Amino acid sequence: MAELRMIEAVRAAISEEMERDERVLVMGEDVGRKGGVFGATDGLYAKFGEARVLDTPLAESGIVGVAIGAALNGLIPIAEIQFADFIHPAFDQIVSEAARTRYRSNGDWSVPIVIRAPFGGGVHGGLYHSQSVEAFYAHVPGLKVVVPSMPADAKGLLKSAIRDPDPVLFLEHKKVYRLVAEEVPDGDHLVPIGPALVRREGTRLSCFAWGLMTHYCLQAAEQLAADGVSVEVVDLRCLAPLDRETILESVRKTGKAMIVHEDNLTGGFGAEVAAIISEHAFDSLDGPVVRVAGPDIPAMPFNSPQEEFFMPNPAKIAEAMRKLAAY
Amino acid sequence: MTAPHTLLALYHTMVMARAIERRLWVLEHMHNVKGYLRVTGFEAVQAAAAAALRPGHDWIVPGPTDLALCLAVGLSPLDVMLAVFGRAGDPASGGRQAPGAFGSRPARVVMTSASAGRHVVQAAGIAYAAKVSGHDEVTLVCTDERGIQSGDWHEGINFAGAHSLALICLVEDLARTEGPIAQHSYGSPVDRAEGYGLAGETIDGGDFDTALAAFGRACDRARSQGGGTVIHAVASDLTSKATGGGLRPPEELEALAAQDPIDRMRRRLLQAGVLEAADDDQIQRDCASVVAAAVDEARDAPSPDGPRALDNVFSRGQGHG
Repeated sequence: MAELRMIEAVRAAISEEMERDERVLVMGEDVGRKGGVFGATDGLYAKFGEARVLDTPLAESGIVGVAIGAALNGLIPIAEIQFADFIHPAFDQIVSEAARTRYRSNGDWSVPIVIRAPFGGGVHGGLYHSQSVEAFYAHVPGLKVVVPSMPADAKGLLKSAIRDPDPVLFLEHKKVYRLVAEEVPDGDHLVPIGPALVRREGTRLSCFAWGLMTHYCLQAAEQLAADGVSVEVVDLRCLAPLDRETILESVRKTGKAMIVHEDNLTGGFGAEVAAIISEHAFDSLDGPVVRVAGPDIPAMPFNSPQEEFFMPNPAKIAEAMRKLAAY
Repeated sequence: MTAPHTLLALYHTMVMARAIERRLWVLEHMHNVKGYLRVTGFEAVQAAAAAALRPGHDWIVPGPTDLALCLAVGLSPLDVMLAVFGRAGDPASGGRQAPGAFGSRPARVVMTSASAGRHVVQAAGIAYAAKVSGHDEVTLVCTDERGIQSGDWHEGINFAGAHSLALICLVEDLARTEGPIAQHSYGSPVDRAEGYGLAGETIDGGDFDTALAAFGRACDRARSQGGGTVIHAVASDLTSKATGGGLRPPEELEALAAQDPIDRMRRRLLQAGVLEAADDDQIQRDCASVVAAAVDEARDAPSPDGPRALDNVFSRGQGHG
């Protein structure tokens, strides 16, 4: 078992799956000789060759469309969108095509592809290298949306995604790529797509997050613990399918719920989690369901003060936790 | 040299496609079905494409006008009617897709969406998979004069050119009297194809022999790793509607009728002695009869159950949410 950062865990998952199954290939901008802008595919070109580690034109609809076609003809493509901010031209291929192919053919055709996309802010990426896009896609039946927060999960969930018979959008937070390292099991480490994970048990309130925000919530929970407030932190890991049972079980235990995401507030995925809690655990609530999220502005500014203003951070989250705990 | 029995079978398919379209036109105007399929004018080029391909081995990614092509590679008139009536027994989609979304896994006809161009880039992906897998497969993707204006057409054709893929793109262009479409700076699909490194040719889409020869060249090129081809097939608009509204005068319609690809194929087969006039009458009657029976059977077939709308969202059971 090696200690890996998330970027290394992602690379290990891809490499192992390509070794295991020759139908697996990766495609995207600069994934070949360059090894990806973050290094997720570093070394794969030399190992597996040009045909299976394919540099594509800078054309996101084309990347996903080609991946869909390759999947229809028996391959298992992993399409990399260099930044989630640039996934929008591929929205039609993902939503209208990949996610609906099984449905519209009544089960006759399927599209087993993985679309990997680095997302998220806090890295001075500005408006077009900081976006969180999960809410757009978690809304789409037929598409799975996975957002790991830790290296071991990244490896296990990505391997599961590659083996999944349906399309999976795999969102990797850029700031988490090299944020932490942990022991990652060697070989066939699979984490099922769906179940959430309670990262920290608590009794006074439940905090739900994914990606980088999971780390920030854990840090905030640690601050609250020093004040004697026990906070449960649930890493959702997968937004579609969503583990409703773990969410509701946690809320029924603590009586208070908070959702944290860096996507802007209105229409963010936190709204869906809040609605589920309100609909199915209303009698257990001992306070309002609270969302901590980015503000409703078009995107994350580049300059430091406004980027900090946009991003939820441990201090902001801890403040909201204290307020909710005292409600 | 195409064998006489093959030519007759293809002619039969062309007549069948026309019979289906005519019947659906009537049903649509009687409000018995919603929307009908449009194929008139392209029967010859579609039959030629089917003759050049190997059904079940090569891939077909059709557009909504490719009725004759899909019939020629294995779809039945009943399959078409079950889809038109949205019946549970529709083998392509169980009645989910609107008419014109042809699909058949055994025939390798890939069901597409309602877009004019999105499927072109997917076809390039199919062809890429064939290449890297070492399979001797040709992929035919069909679109029209609108589809070549979409970004996905350009991305798909560029990808096919960059990787020298065994892709044939059939552009079915219904020649209209108003001339080039005003929305783009005009360049023929052939010019565009050549710009992306594919071969291209514009053909008379109403002439079977011309189309068969073009597809033969394209398939030879594809199978010899020579790359892809765009076939720009221009066919006459045979309908009675005039550009800008109203009806065309009878003399114009008479002139257009001489360009009808089915009539041209009939004359060719009669001249060659492949078809007798009496046999042709029988083919026309047979097709009308088969279509009528298919309509009756599809109309009486059961609709899908409402709650089964939840099926096949994901691979195992029902969707999330």
